Amino acid sequence: MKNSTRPDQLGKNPGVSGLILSSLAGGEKHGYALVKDVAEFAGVDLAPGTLYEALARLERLGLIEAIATDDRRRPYRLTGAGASALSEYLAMQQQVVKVGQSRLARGWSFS
Amino acid sequence: MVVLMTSLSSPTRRAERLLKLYPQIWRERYGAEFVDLMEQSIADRPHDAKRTTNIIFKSLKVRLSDLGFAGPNLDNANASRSALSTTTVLATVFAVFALFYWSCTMVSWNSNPKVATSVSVSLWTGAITVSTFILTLTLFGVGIIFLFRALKSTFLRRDKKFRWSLIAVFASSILILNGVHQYIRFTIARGGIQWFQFGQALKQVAGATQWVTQSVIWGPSWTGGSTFSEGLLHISATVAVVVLAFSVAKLIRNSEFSVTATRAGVRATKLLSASMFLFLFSCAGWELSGGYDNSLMAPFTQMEKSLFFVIAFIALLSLSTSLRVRNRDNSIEIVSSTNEAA
Repeated sequence: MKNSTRPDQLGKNPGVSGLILSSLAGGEKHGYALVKDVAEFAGVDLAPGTLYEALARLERLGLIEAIATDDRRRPYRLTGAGASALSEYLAMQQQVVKVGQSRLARGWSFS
Repeated sequence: MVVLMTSLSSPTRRAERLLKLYPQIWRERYGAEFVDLMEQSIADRPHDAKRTTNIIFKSLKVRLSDLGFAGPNLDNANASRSALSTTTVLATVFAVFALFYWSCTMVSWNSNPKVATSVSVSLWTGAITVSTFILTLTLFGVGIIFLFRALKSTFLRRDKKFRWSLIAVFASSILILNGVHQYIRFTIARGGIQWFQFGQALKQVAGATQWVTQSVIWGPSWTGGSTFSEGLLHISATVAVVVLAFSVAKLIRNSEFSVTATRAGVRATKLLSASMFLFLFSCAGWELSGGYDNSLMAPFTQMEKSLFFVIAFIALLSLSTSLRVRNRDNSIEIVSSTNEAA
């Protein structure tokens, strides 16, 4: 379907969604482990309200899924659709990085 | 004392207090894991104003979303239910005003024996009548359907979750019917409504409606009359309408929605919003074509004109809610197609 490749597939606030999906790409994690992992690899401190807003959105979009457990720490994992969406999002980000770096290299010098 | 203070400010207690900011449906889904995350977050950084502010704003957003006013809902299956529930409350308030304005236009129609009402004003009066009829009938239909479902669930399945809402619906309905009876007693005393003379009957119904809706609208600030019972009747009519609206909304929120019911709910939400806008449009047409002219109708007071803007705002809120339901439906389709592709 044409909608499956749209750029806003990660929903609102794709930056936060991208961070969460990137974290879950490394394996299933519960809320606190996600916050710690994102802080470690991206230096971003995800506030609890923002984290759960994004988790609810990604779960509703079918990009992640909660794993059934008796423990109150419920882990989340990436779905196939989530992996595909993350791959498209990262490719787009790479394109932005490439363009930005090449333009900086042409017009700016840093000592 | 120290033990008590420590207990009140323990991470679990603080986490649970913050959790209460979220609506019940959210707490049921994410409550336990949220408390777990918060306990550890508080242990890491005991005092963080930015974190608390973040939770306050995000929980407010979830609450607005739960009512159908903001962003996508937590649960797509509940989107139709939330939207219909919220729109029912909005539409009930709107309907009281719509019935009042309709009764005014209908009573003034051909009221001047010297000048007949123009064709354009007659057409706009008809449009106001039709839109008010659609709005009221849809609301009545929604109320009856959910009342029937709740009664069935309560008596056949011994389900207790509808008990208080049902009591409130019946109590408020009795109060409203009593109010209606009290206000149309003059019509009854004069032989009742002449149903076989359609034009006359319509005018009589409009006259009675004007009495009843005025009572509901001005109830809390009512100063006329001299007896306690009349004042109580005015206030109880207003309270009863509000209680009825919220009780029916509660019945809707507590009902299980099948796929068919979800679609019907979305359609009912849109029909209610559309009829509100048709009403506003018809009123504007009536006014512009000179509805006041050539009638013996007293001009609307400043307050009655101002309240028109209030119902226009209610219609906008309702429209916003019904449009969000449509967006949510689209998002479900996108997800399913994405999953199929995957």
